[in-house]
Amino acid sequence: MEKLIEYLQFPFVRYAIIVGVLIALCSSLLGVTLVLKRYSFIGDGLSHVAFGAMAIAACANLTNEMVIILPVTILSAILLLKTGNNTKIKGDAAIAMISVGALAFGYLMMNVFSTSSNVSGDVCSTLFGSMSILTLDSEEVTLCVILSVIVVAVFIIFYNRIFDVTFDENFARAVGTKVSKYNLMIAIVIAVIIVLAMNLVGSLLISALVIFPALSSMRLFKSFKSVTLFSAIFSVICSLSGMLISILAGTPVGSTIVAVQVVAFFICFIIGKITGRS
Amino acid sequence: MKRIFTLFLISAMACGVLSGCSDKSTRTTGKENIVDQLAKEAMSETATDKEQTESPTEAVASSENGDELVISDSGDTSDEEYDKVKGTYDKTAYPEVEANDGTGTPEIDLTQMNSTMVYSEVYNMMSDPTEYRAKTVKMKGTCTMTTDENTGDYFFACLIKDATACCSQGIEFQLVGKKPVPEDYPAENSEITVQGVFDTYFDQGYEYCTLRYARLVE
Repeated sequence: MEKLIEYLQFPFVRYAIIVGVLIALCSSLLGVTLVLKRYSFIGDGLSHVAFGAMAIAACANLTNEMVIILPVTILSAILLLKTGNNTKIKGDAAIAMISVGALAFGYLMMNVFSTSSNVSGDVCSTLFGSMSILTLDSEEVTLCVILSVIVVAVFIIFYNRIFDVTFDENFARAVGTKVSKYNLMIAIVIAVIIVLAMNLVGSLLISALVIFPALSSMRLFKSFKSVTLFSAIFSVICSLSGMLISILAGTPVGSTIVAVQVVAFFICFIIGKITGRS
Repeated sequence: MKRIFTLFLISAMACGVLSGCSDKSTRTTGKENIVDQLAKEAMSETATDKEQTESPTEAVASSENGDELVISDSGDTSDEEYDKVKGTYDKTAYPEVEANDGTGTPEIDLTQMNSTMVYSEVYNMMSDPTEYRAKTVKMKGTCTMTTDENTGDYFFACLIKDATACCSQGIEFQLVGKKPVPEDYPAENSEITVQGVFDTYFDQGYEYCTLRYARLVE
């Protein structure tokens, strides 16, 4: 405990905890919708797209990489979510195609055109988050807080619409809900969350932040509201625990958070089995 | 509802543009700093490193036109020999740094932290050096050396790696009373613990971090 208190004196540790909790909260809220819409893997796909975009920005020597990363990720999210199953290439195949394509293209770009000689370090840092969450400055924390507040506000304001779109798009369309617009909104929010979450767990582990809270929650609860609420609590507690363990034990942040989520999922699974809810 | 939706779209796009303001690369100079260079060299040079470790008293620095300047292995470097390769970078310390000789209890003791914390703290020291200037720092890591190809100056740094050993961070150090030449410094890739006063200096318009008045600690 003494060690923890000592580490909490460092501003970057406090920043990491604030940002980590906020990202976990945001990703869990949208995670329930994504899992129910059978888009669990979209986080992984979009994060690979973000990785590819980051590689292009790095090779182009852009000082502001977000100028490329965010629009490209948002565009990909729109393409994947908005078109849905109404295309020749179905949802899961489209995600897989974009995911591996962007990952391969990004790595190729970094190897062929990179201005950095430490390609393995750059790739490792981007894919697994490395220590990114512990190297944030106050501006980045402020931005994350603003984006998180927007994401949570959007979720609360449009909760009923998101619920409609999540469960039955055809019914929602029939009762006058502009499904395509709400899908577009969900796509933009997901893209923003993915880009933010890359700092916390890296490209390869983002899916865990999206699916584990939702799946664990579904082991114990049945209604959309209770699943969403428990999912948010689960995600925040796991991320916080993961970060604290990582800081105290000196383990990589991203993988520690995901490991905690896996353990928590199995606990929820067992509780669900015992209580007969699962 | 339509208006709220439009407002959301506008705010999301505005945030997207704003997010660019926080990019890490804006906090660093356009040129690679010395420690970055050292970190990359440490990652890529394996055969060369081994060779230099075996004979640490002989160092070779390439000059701009490709000629080689060889420092003798006499054990102590004369001023004349040193001046052949010495550059002109500004080593002037900030006033608040001069007041600290670096011998007291370290204010930032990186030897007491785990690898995650050390890596993050050193990264933050490099990103925001003004917050750490004039503080006594103690750190443990690998000694690494590089040379400025144009001036022949030697630079030594204490390098630390993250848990997966793919990313490195480090701080240049200048041993008190010793010229930065291989003869007077620890062998490359050797484990060292160094204590000094954190400071920055400018070289050709770029700011670099260093530990001044550094001492090797057992």
